[in-house]
Amino acid sequence: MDTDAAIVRRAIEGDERAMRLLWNQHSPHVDAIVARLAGDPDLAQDLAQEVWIQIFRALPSWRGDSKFSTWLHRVAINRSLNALRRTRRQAAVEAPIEEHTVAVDHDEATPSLLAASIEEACRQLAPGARRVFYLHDVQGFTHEEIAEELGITSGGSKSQLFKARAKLRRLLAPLLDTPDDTVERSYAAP
Amino acid sequence: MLHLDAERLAARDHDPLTADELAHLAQCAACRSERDAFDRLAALAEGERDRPGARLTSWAALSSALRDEGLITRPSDVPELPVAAEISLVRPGRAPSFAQPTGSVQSSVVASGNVAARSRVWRTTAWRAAAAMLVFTSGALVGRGTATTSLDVPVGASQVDGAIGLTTASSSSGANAFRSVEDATRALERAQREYERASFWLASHDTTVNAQSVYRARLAALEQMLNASRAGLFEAPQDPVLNQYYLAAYTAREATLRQLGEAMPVDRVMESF
Repeated sequence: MDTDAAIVRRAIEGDERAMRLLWNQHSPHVDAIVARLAGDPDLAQDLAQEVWIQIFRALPSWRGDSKFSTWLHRVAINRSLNALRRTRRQAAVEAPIEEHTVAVDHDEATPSLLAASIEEACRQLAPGARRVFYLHDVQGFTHEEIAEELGITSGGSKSQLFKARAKLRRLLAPLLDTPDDTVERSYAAP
Repeated sequence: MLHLDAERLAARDHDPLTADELAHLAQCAACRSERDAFDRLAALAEGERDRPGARLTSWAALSSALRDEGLITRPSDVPELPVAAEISLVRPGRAPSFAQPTGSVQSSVVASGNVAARSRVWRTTAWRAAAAMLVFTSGALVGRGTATTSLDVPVGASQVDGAIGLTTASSSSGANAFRSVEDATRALERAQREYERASFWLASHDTTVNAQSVYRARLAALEQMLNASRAGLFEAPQDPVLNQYYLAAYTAREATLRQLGEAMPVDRVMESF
């Protein structure tokens, strides 16, 4: 019998030991998804438990036709986005995700705003742009899938993705520029 | 022609560059450098997918919430689970059976209560014996194929961390392999995960040992070890090492129950051991 299937089966039956095994095995991965979609560490902490409860509720829907980790990955993303939508705090601190309204600073990033890692840089993106970038460039979602998950159009998803990439490129200049990148360059439109 | 706009370069995997833009790119080192930077950004993003993050939840808080939600119906802090029910869950082709535990399982519940009332000296001695036995049993279970593994193998660099971690825990020379408390704690957590995975795997796949009497004897011994472990935790409930031993003993007991369940005839339900 497949080990994942056996453990999941017992977790569905309410066996705490099996549930703990699943959590122990997968929480670094699931919690990373929550953290990156939430952006704000405090918000991520608030959401993580809710997401895990939703995951355990969803266990019976895993039919075993895909790897458990693949299924879990997708469910974690979906439940994280649902939880984010429901969070009142989220609504209070940011405007709803709208197309073409993400404020992206077109000025050159100042040294104090440069980021040392892609995770840190992503936290400086507007929430909508960050989620689109994470879902598309990190998780490999299509724009149609993103549109469905976030309730926007695929055109809006593309627009936000390009803005997010452009801003990340500036924020991550120390990581992305090679030592021989000494040529001065403007960002004027062609 | 002016330099290519950053968003234009960012979009080129969706909207290919025009002939004019390509011509500019061919003669402009700055724009080529910018294009390469976007390629590196794409590679960085791809590498993020499987990068684990810090844990945001603790099992104590999560399990409490899961109990409130009614999702946990068999808490692990009550080790005396209905044996027959547990076995029937892992036996293919059989409807779950929830026969009440009898015989020595019930005895172990009584024994558990008695243990708490015994003297501290007895508990300490029993705990030490149990810990020593557990290290041995763990090595036998997980280290079946790793008997030749050296104690000097760096922890964390091997697929058999479970066996090595538990063994080095009792080795004074092995303690030097860790650089910090965090390093050792991480190794211990890795070992625990590997041990649990290996135990469950063995329970499902190992057919080399198939004698019911062996499993019954092991189960009885593990039951005693669990009692001793509980007694140890009674003295120091927050101690992470004692908790690790308790969890390891509990996992071994579960794995043995499974193996015993697999070894029994399909129409038999185990009610005691």
